[in-house]
Amino acid sequence: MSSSNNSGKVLKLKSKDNQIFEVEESVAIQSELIKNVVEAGCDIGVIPLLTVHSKTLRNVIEWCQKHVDYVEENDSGSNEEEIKNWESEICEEGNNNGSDDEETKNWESEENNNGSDEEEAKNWESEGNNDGSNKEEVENWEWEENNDGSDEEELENWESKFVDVDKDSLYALLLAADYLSIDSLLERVIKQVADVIKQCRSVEEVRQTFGIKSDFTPEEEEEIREEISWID
Amino acid sequence: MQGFGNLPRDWFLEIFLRLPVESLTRFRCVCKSWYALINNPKFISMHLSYNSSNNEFVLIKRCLLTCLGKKVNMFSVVSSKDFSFANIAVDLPLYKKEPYLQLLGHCDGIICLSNYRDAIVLCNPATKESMVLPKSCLPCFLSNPNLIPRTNALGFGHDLKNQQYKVVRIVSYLEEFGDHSSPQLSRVEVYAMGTDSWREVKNVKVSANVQYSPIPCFDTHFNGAFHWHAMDYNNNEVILSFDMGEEAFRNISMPDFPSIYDHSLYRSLLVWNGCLALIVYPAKGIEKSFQICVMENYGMKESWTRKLTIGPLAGIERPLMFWQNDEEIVMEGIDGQAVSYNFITKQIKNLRIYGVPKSFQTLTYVNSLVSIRRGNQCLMK
Repeated sequence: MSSSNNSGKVLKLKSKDNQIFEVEESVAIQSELIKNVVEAGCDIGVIPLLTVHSKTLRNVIEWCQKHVDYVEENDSGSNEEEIKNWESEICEEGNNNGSDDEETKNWESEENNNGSDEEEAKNWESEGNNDGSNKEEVENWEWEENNDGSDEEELENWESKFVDVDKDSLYALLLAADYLSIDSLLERVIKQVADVIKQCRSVEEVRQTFGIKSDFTPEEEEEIREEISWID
Repeated sequence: MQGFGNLPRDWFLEIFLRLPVESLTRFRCVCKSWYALINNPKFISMHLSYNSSNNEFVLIKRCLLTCLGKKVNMFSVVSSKDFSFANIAVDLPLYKKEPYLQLLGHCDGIICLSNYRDAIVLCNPATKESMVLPKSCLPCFLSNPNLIPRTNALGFGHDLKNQQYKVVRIVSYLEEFGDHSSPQLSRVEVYAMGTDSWREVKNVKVSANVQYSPIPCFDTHFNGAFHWHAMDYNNNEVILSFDMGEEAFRNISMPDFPSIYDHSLYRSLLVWNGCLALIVYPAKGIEKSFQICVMENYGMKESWTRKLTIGPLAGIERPLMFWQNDEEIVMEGIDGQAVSYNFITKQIKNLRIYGVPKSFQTLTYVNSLVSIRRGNQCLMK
């Protein structure tokens, strides 16, 4: 947790169910709505947030606090963790999510089939065992880029856990983020809803998840499903 | 969970923009309002726009060798964001085994493929829609029966003026047993996506002869025109361009350097920082330097400017395309691997994609819902 390095002014926010939350100004103004209230000088006493329940407000405040902390930590630039991660990444094989198996198999058989292109016979070295001239380049080719690395990733992981909640809570977060105008939260929740849809395995599951009733007749629906298979 | 069902339509728009094409296609039939939204041309255009800014890929076509020594084609996409790659299943008859498969171009999620003989295919790999183009509308023989038609050049691109995607074909009629270095006659036809036949472009002058060669890569769609490597009728090396909207040809001069008679040098045409760029490099060699020349004012020969030289680099065969905000260039290694060279850091990154050497072709690519059969849709920009 960071120590506030500003005037330390504290705002009072009141939830829909009349609970009062005391929040540092620097944290609260992550919300554009509250920021406008403060700038207009109307932040005396308590700021009522009429549509946000205390349960959701608590979470929203946590989000804002985390983002204020993140910005502060990055400004002070602690590099030690970064360097540690960078070193370990150089040693480990990078991953990609392409299916490499087929390529590896084919590549291995390629090594035995270089007769077809005479011109290339000279250059056709098996993977990993290059002739001298390529040696200097091999190291470079294994370079794994590590930019901001750990801090950004850590925030992303935190955000992912934060939005990994039940649908009702997610919905409440969405409404709150919109009402309070917190772009970072809004963006992340929308992405989460999209991810929930992506993971549904069937149309029926989507309907159930979102409480949607189909207004297609069975025939209409069948027609639409057929549309998808383009056979020439 | 009743809440989400009542979400205003605007919210669903925001959510759907972030969904991949596959999910949007599958879940169109959830209910009528979803169906209407996902099929709406305006939405398709917004989704495409969103993907173009956030989910851009490099599409790589390469050949792999099977255990029996046969070449098969493979398409993969490499993400600009995290360099991960995935192979894509393109379900086409003209795909896996075709030895002369060429990627003609990409527009808004649609790619065009051909074997330069008898088949041209349009495909949207994300929606898995594909279509073989109808037969040519040009005659198979003219009054002189010794002249046989041959596809000289193909191109695929946007016609922004008329909001269409078009395939253009230049057909040359050659003496059957004669000298093929200068075709007797060229005719041009165009196919607009969403229509059912080709249409000849009459009264058009083809100002140069296209020199077909898959290596090095040259064919480029840029600025509403398609460009090929060609020789004009005075035997000068030029860039032949076909404006997709005007349906007219013009010759764009190459820079004076290097000499066209230096056959040890290859020239590739690419797009860099919003301009046409020529990369000149040795055809052979373990170490190569790549000289980049940019045409700063489109069409003006005097504006060709030498920008920079990359290298010498060891183990690199040829350049493929620029990406990562034009700060990196995808290249093919001598042993048939795709790598990315960064000009700023001068580092080479192995993309870990391997294939038969000199079989690589690349294009920028985005996933979209654009439908081939429905043809005219809202185009970007």
